[in-house]
Amino acid sequence: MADELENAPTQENELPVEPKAEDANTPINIKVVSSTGEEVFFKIKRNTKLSKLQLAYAQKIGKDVGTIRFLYDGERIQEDDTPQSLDMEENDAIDVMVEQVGGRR
Amino acid sequence: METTQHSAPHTGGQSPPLPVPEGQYRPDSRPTGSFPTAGVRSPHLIATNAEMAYSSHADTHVSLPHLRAGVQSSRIPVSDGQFRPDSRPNLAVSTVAEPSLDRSVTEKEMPYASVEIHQHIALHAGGQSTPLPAPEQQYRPDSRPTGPFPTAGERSVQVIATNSEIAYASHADTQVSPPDGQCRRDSRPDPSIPTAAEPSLDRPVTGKGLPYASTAIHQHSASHTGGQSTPLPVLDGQYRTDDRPDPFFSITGEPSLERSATNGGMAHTGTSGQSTVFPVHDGRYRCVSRLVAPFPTTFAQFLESSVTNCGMIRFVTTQNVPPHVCAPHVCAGGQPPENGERVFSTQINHILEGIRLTPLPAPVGGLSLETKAKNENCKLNVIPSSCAIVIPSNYTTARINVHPSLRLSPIHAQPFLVGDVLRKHRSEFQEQNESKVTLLPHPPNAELTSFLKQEGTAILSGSDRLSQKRSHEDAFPAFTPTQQAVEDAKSNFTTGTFQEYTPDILADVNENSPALRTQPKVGDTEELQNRTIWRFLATRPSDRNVSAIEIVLSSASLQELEAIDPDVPQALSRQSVSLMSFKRLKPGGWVNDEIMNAVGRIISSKAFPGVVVSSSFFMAKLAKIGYSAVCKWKKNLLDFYGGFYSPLQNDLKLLIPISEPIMRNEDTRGTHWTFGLVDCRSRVIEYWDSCQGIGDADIFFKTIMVYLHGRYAEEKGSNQNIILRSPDQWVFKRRDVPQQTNGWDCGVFVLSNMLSIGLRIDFFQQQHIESMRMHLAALLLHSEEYLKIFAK
Repeated sequence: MADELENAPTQENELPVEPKAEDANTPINIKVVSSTGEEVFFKIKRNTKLSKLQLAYAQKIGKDVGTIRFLYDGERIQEDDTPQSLDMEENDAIDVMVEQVGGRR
Repeated sequence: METTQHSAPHTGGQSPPLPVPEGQYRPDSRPTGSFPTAGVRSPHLIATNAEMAYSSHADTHVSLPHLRAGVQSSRIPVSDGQFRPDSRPNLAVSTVAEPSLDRSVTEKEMPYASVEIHQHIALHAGGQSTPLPAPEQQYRPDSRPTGPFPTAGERSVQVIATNSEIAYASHADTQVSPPDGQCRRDSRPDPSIPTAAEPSLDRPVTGKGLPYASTAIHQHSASHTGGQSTPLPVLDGQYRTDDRPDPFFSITGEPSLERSATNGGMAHTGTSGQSTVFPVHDGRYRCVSRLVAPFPTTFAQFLESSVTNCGMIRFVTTQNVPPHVCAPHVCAGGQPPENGERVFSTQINHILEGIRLTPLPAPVGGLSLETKAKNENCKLNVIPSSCAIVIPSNYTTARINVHPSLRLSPIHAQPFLVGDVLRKHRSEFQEQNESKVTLLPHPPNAELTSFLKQEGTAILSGSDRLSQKRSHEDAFPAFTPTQQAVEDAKSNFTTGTFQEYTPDILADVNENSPALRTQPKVGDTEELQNRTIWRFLATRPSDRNVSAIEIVLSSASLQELEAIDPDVPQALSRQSVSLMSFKRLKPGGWVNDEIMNAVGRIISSKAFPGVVVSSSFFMAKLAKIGYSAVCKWKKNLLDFYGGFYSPLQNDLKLLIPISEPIMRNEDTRGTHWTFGLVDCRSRVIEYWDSCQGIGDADIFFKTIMVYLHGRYAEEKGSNQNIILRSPDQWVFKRRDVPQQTNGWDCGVFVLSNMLSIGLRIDFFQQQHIESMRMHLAALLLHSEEYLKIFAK
């Protein structure tokens, strides 16, 4: 569990644009929980777009990011969402779910 | 310990059908002589109960395993508290246990039933248990524990059997997957709770609120010495007096059972009867008696008639009862109290008075009326529009509870006042309120609400907002497509199997599917024209038309699309729908979660108050991980609408798109969409499957009850001073919905259902199921304009 991986390849590029720079810059730990319950921890700045985290996670598990869904409190994480915009807290969990389809065949 | 009573051979949880040893059991629970035998009454009972429980569910198919040879008894998947055990009638078990079932019926029908009850009570007041000749064939085998009590685990098995027998006997056609050996959460005796809890197993059976049962309980409790937990003989009165101190009786199990039974009766009797439960609680025991008064009634009238009809009620308490409240041992030959127990009988008004005079602990957000000035010890809790009075106390608690369904009837119960107020001002109160406030209306009127606020009444959080939000009493009638509409939809649907919007198909659509017409047709009414996709598109500010959506559906890439209509990519992005997903709306495509949740979001934002659409991942997460995984999902919204157990009239509807199979490998994407609906107003959980037999309703019911129980604990925790509705009152129902005839439209059915409920877009009635894909495309691309035209 909890492989602590500093997932920072992209976040270095992010410059704080928020006035509350100090707060926004504070990295927080976010855990990504797969549908089987496996957890992966990410450290991410509060103003970094979560889409980066999504890409990194998809890459890690070897799936197309278009086939998995990232949910925070049950809501799909949008393109522009950041930990700050979602008001995320330390160690909050993001649920990863696999795409669902259905037609009954 | 008086275990000798139970010394009959007990096979460790396996309960063989026990002939009831005479004299050992239920002394008083059985009517003597005057009552028809159980066997005779049972048919009647069944019918009645069936009506009560299921009258509205003709289409329900719950199959039960055949627990008993030769009897096709459906079995409730008694799992984790998911099913209400007792509300369901049991054909097979119409025997001894059932008198309770009968009783409710009887009471309603027979005015004199209560009198008999009292006689019975009087007879048994002696505590001498009249040995009931227990006809062997009448007994439920397992309902009686014999000898040493089985452990909780063992008993649960019994419960299952019992419940299943009872619950589903009338549904021979139902099929139920084998139980996981799980029990209703509350039917299981809490190990931490001393013996008194055990009878609870039987409780479900008796839950119907037998007056007998309560009597039996009292006797038992009388003979029950405080700390010594005597294994209660499981009377077929099946009641367990809970020794769990619950000042409010809102604990999951017991009161709810009572109430559900009661409610079940009431819910369908309409104006025929009113039943009231008076659980009296002294911190250890609860006495329950069920009173039925002719309907309509005011509370005052009810009390009067109750007193007249029912006379005595017997209570047991360990507390000192003021001597003027009641005369101990009024019941001749009452079992002598032990260890400071007091047994008393009194009339209802005396009881109320007694409660008034009973020392109370610090009030918990109670409403104090005039009595407060006169007697510091009295607190009343009036819960607006729940028709309930609660008098919280560590010593004695009485609750008069009238089922919320009464509020649906034209005649309403009245706000109650108890004790001094009632006695002194009964007539005055009656006059006043009959003319002025007929009921704590729904939503509570401003006057009453402000009054209650002044008085410090605890009002459920959210109720204020609720009352503001729900300015429409009738905003949300149940969505019920007419039979004709369903038929039409079915027949019409068979023509909707085209694969692409070819010119031929468009011509066909223009001919047969008004909502999809690309041109108006001579003969269409104005209204029809206004509600067609054609009109929708034609009246848009831009010059988009049907072909634009077609292009979107068939375009290869966003770039290609952008060249044609730059707004489209933005619209899709706004909805978090990828083009790939969007193109699944082409005929024949399987809808995926993006479309499902995008439409869900639109519905949530535009829906009628109270409608909440869950994520399509909700069930998967809940089933896999449990309540903790989803407890925060939509929490604010659900709380805003009052939650699931508010005693207030609650319009909350939770719409759940379900990706089937619910339990599946995490990496698979599913094969089917079904739809679940939790309707708080009618307390119904519905399962809509457009391809019946594919989805598993049982798993859905079990899973959703995990959630609802979790919610109950949460809501109870945050509203300590409010009696919540019971989590055991849900009725499960498989809705009969139009069936798909192909292998790809289930998601469209689900979306149609959600739109119908959330936005009241009546596609079924317009017989346009096959045009739904176009509707959905238009909804996603142009939600604002679309809703303006199509949503009511």
